[in-house]
Amino acid sequence: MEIYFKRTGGFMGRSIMRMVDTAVLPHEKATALRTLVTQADFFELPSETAVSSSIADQFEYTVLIDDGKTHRHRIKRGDSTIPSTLWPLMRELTTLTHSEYGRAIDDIPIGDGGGDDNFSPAAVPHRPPLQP
Amino acid sequence: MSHRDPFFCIVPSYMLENIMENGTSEQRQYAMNNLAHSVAVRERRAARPTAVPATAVGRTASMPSKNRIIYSAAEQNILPGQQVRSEGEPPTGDLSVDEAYAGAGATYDLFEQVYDHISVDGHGLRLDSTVHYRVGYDNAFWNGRQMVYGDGDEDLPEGQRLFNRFTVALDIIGHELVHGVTQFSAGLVYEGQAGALNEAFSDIFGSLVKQWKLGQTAVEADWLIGAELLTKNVNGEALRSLKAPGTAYDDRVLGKDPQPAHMDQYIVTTDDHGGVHVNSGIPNHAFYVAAIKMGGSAWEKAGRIWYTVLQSKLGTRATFQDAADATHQAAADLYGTNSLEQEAVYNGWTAVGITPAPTIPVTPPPPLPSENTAMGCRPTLKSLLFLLR
Repeated sequence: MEIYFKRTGGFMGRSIMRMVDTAVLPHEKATALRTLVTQADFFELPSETAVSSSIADQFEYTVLIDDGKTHRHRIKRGDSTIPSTLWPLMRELTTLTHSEYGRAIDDIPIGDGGGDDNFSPAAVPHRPPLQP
Repeated sequence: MSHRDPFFCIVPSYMLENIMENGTSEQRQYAMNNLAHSVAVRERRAARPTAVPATAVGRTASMPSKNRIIYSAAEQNILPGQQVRSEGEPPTGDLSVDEAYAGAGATYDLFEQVYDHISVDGHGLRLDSTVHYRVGYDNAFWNGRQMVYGDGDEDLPEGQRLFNRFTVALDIIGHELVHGVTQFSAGLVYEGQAGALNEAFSDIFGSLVKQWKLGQTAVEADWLIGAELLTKNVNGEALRSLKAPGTAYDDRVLGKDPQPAHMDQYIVTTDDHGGVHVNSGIPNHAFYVAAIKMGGSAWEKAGRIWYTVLQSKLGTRATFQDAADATHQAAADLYGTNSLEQEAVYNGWTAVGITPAPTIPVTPPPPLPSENTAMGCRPTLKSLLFLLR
């Protein structure tokens, strides 16, 4: 499972953009991460909710998860629109991207729904696109 | 004249009396207005009840007074959460709760006592804060109605923590409340240069709250934002520096402080609403340079100029150039054309690569004593009798 994570804004204004691949994680960490993805019901979440610009200093998150099989989904959220079921995954990803397991990337790839305003061809993983 | 005229209440009564007796007709009018305002302010303050129940929407029912409520989200994301301390109640022993309470109080006090500005909206809005937001939430924000604080990296082993609780730094609390002040005054949109100005006003007055509370002069102040926030695991002294943007931290995990201190290094990006937290380093540094050149306590003159501009001189989509022009003019309005203060503002903006436009000449007001403060007005019986003659 490949997870692309981007966090911008916040009080510090520091941007994080990393990719985590469960194939290179220790077994225990990889299992825990998959569990968090399931608990968040990630692949069923709406792809995007409005990020209010009236909230000063909030984080904004863009996450794409590709399970390498049938699911490839991308979401975008602000702090105020992250449900409690999704937060543990966001927190774990933040921590992982601060560790040696986070790999630097240039952008977040396109998701499953199209209409992606941040799509960058250079950021697409070097492998064939998934079949519908 | 409006009761928010920044001239008001900065000239002591003995000087006003001299002006009324010896000044020109224009100066006499100025002095009369100032004394009359001082009386009104003092009467208003005296009339405030010590405890006023808040209404459901947070506004007090009659005369405004300081009214803080602290809630705990109990590590959840529900706002505002469970009420844990309200105005006048003793400390709870919970550091986050008590720091949020004290920090909101210090910010309120600075704006009331120095700028005669009551709460974030100028009319006594109740100050609501929520602490213990989510688990491992390394942030604080203003959601348009209240402050929200996370506990940093409290969920990680101590050796991996980067951030302490976000209530630990008074300037962070001040920063968040000033987002409210900006929302209710200039209403700067949170995007591009206007957004960076929004951030800069929060950093500037957040720092001034701390300086005022500690009684520091501009030279004595550290001009850091979040000096207590980073743990010992981080190679850095704070999140931002107004004195030297770009130097607050340089860490293996966090990277290097990206703030520019000059327009030459302005960062063009789509992240973070156009880099509002990085490009704010430019107007932050302009204020710092101006305040240092003015000397004394930064909240008195430099703070008053920037406060005046925030209240009434900027459009919602103001640029850095607009802010430079407005503060340059406000310095002339307050302290006179070619005054030391106006020159300091000019030097502040040129230091970051922005040249303020020439100002409309203003006749200097009567000289101001450097040690005076907004609370220095003391109308006397003699001066009031003079007004009634």
